[in-house]
Amino acid sequence: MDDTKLVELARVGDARAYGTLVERHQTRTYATLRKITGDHDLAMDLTQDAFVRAWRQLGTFEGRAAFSTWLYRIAVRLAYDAIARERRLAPTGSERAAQLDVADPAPGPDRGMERLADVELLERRIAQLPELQRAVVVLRTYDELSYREIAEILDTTEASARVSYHHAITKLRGRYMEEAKSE
Amino acid sequence: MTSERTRGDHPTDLELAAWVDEPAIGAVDIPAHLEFCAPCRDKAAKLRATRAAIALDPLMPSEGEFTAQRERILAAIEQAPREGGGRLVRQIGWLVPLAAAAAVAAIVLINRPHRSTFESAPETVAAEAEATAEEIAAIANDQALDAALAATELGPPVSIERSAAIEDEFALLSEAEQSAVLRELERTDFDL
Repeated sequence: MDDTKLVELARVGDARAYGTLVERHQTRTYATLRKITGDHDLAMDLTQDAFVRAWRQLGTFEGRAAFSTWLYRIAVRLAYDAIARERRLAPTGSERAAQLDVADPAPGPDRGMERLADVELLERRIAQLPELQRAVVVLRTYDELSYREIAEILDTTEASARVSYHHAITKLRGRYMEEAKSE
Repeated sequence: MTSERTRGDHPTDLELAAWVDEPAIGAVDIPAHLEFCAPCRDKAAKLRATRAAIALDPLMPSEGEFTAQRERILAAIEQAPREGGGRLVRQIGWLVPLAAAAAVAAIVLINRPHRSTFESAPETVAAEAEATAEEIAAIANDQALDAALAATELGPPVSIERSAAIEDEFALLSEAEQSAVLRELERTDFDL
């Protein structure tokens, strides 16, 4: 059964249909949130929150956008809120840089561990980008969405999404590739 | 144009990123430039590698964790009230002045005199007031945006808990400050 039918059933209260939607989109939503926030626990919490909020709001969903687009919009909005909260609480400047340096895993002899360290390093570098850029780079590169879809999810223009992506990927190339090589 | 680029007019990093992202609509003369320019070839390769690294799946939780999360979601939605259009309109109705009140309260908090000078250093009091004000402003902004998004069907619902938080913060203001906020509300044409 496609998403549209499941949404129709869920709108009239069919929790099983909604459960199928959750199962279908849960992993991808988590992965996107994990890449945007760089934090497993937070991404799990936000994924749950996004699905509960989507359920509550389903009565206002008229299907002009795909369910997944609508869900992503909720999820990314929650991520923005969480990032803003974190920024208010987080140390700044050199304190944060020092923490990141301490947290950087040392390169090990095992190839698999090197790969793990690279993934974690990249996640931290993405998490240092401005909100819009991190969301765009994840939605574009990981979720492979078009700029039109990204603009719809992030409530921005296609041009702005394009420019944000180009800036983000250029910064990551500068930071991530050089640092990964030196570690 | 092509000949100019091939004479050593390197594409900018953003042009290169655009071309790697969308070769079909990127600058048409970049492939010719890359044929003879090793530094730009290297940059393009790094951009592709970075893109590929981002596209890798993150460290995924076990299927058991996802199953447990699904169960929590399904349990939560049984308790979660559904919101229809009519109710939403009513919510936005009271939300607008509430968000405005919180925003004004934030301004009042930032600017009000420090009454606890004897207990704390002025800079501490100011920092605390500013932090509180920022929190209120963030909540107000969040509420207003949520409402605006909800009105276009694509946004998340309003959080009742956070509305209560705004009211709590408002209640902490002195009578004079509350009056100032209310006067400001009457004066201001608050627009989402």
